[in-house]
Amino acid sequence: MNRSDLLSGRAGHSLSRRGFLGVLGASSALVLGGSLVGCSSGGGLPAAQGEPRRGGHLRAVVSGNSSSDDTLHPFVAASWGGGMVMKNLFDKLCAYDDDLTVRNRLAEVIEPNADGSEWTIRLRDGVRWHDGKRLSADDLLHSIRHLLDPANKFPGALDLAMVDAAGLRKLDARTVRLPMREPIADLPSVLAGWYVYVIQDGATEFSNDEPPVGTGPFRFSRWEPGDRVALSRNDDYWENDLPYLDELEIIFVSQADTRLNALLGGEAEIAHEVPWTQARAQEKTGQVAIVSSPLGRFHAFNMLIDREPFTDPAVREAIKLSVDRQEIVDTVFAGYGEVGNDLYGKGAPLYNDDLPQRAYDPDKARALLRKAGKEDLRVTLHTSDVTPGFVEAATLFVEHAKRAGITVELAKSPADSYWTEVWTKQPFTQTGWGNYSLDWFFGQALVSESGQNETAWRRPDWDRRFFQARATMDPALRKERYAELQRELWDEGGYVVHSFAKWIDGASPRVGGLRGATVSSDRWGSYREVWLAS
Amino acid sequence: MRRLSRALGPAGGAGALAVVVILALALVGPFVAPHGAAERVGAAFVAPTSEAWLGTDQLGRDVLSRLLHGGRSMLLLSCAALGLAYLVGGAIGLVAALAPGPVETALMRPLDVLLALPPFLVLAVLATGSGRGAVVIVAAVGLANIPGIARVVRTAALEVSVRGWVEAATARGERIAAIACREILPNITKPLLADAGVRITTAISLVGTANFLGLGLQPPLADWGLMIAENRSGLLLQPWAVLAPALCIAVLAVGVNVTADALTQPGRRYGGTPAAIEGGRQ
Repeated sequence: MNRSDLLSGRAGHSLSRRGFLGVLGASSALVLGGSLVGCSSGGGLPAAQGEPRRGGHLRAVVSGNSSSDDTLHPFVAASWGGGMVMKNLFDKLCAYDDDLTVRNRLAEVIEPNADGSEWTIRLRDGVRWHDGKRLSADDLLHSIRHLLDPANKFPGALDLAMVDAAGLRKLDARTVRLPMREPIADLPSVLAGWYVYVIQDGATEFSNDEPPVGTGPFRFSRWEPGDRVALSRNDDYWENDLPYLDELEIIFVSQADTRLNALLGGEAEIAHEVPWTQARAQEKTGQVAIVSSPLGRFHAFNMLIDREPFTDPAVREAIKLSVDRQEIVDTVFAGYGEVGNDLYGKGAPLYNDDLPQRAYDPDKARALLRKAGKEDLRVTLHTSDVTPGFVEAATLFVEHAKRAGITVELAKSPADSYWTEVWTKQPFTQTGWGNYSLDWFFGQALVSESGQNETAWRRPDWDRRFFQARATMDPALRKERYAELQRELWDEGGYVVHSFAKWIDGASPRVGGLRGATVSSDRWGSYREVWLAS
Repeated sequence: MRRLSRALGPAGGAGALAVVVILALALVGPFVAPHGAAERVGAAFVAPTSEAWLGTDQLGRDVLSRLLHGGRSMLLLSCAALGLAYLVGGAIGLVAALAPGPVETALMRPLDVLLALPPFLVLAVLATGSGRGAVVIVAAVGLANIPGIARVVRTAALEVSVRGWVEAATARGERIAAIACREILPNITKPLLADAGVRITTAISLVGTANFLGLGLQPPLADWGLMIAENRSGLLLQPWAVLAPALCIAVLAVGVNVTADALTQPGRRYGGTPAAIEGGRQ
């Protein structure tokens, strides 16, 4: 399978939309690890203090899939709840830190040759699977081959599309060499992607009958599809005498209000993705501890730039100038966020901070439209309850755009068909993504052939320069090249990135070790450092 | 007026008063609202203050103003849907009563099938198939009511159609349309009124549900059903954003029902009497 096949794979498209991509829809955030002290956004109750305590049974509520969509396969689990289960059963070679730089996990070393056309990965020594076997290079070879096997059509294959699976070589019991189809200067930034877990050699099925065997901090106990997964402590975990909890129950609840009520009612110890306004209120009442992620998730309106009226750059610019981003952050996200500047990856390495912040300027937008002969512009923005904050942001935008003479009509679609029937089908929709590297995002959403190219950004010259930048080994030159790519996107792209909204979790005062972590980062979704006070 | 008051009785009077109040709120509301329906006046989910008597909603808009703007759509949609249903269902019922045999069978059997479908299913199918919006709500709520109305009209019309004055009209050679409009319709108003009382309540509820579920009107429009849906996440923070529109819908639905019920109580002389049906033309 060539790169094009991988990028346009249908299965990959739909699945990654729902989990990985910020299909933030029925999904939830998890913010874990470390200490809560200093991470709570404000006045809520302090979490448990002092030395971590071993033992206890913790229940966490998070959004998941319906029973028919639920899965235990780490290369398929796309919902936030599913991802959280995988994060605790399995490990990745490397993972994002809160600032989206990468740290090693199962990998001891990940290093390129001189031009990034070949990478060598050496695994950590002494890691054991839940069944007692030692982690080996064979496991890694199987993981990559299984992930990239075209017959499987795994969405994660997109992440490693540059890896030449046929050329993989085992160098010794812990070392594997990966040749690249196209050179890449920073392979770890894509190895840290959502699905890239290491599975045991030969494993292809994961269910109650064939229980998943991982290297993660918790072992599999029980799965009730669409309802919950029960896990128990892995006493042989490789990392620093972790985890603390004896048992962990991850319970899937799609409604954010219900999750918070479960926490308030004592039915759960942690509720993930608390609605922003509720979080603000809880900070005042102090019934539960509230933690928020350091970086926010991307929320945007996306225009298909090959569809009218967005083929005209003046119209795109006018739309971008017609959004009062600060009001959206203050109102929809109750201040838990930052304004966006029409680019992905705020806070990530290689993000272009030098570009001026695009301001709300309805007069300039009106003048642009007049000059382009597009006065009294009417557009339909398709929205949905698929992700918290979508409809609210769209509703505010209607009023913002009025001041620029633009009439925005909203068309609200059902959540269950938004990503399949509306998104990328209609010229003006809404989107949201989790936090990943620019390498990862550009490959997923901006390369011409990507099945998730939600702005119809198809410029072969830009693709060529992206591949060149991605393969640039000199960090300074790579940064410069990424800055140029982003400038072009900022000037002419189809994204109106209005906000980066933080993920909020609520916790019982008995919970310790919970802290805000960037969505999709290493600590996000992991319970290995969480503990329960007696 | 006194006759109407006597006809309604105390419960009916209270119901009618409630309906009048809600109607006035819906019709005059937009002219007296302190703010525009989409105008932001403060932070989200602020409790009632002297500036915003019912507080603010999830986007910081004045709940009172949105409440005053939001009644018209529900009333208009409910009335339009029922008007359509009575027009079509009534016509079908009358024709079926006056033209028994194959015509009646051809008209009534398909309606029996439609009658078996839950109204909400009809609405959901139409909304999914042809998109969302006011027209879909009117069509769906109308369609859901047509079979029931046709049956009621047919049954009532059949009862009246064997009366002497109808036979006399037939003997005079009057056309079927004239018989239906002049001889039958005026004498079946009582069962129709009783039927309408229940149907208005159902229609209001269905329209409210459709908007609540996002199948009908779209934001940022102010509508009571939409308001409940939009603000339910803040129910504990600012209950008035949900309670106020919910109360309006409930009061309207109950008021209409109680009023219609009172008007059709045996012995009350309003809108047709048993004597009229039994004994002769009014």
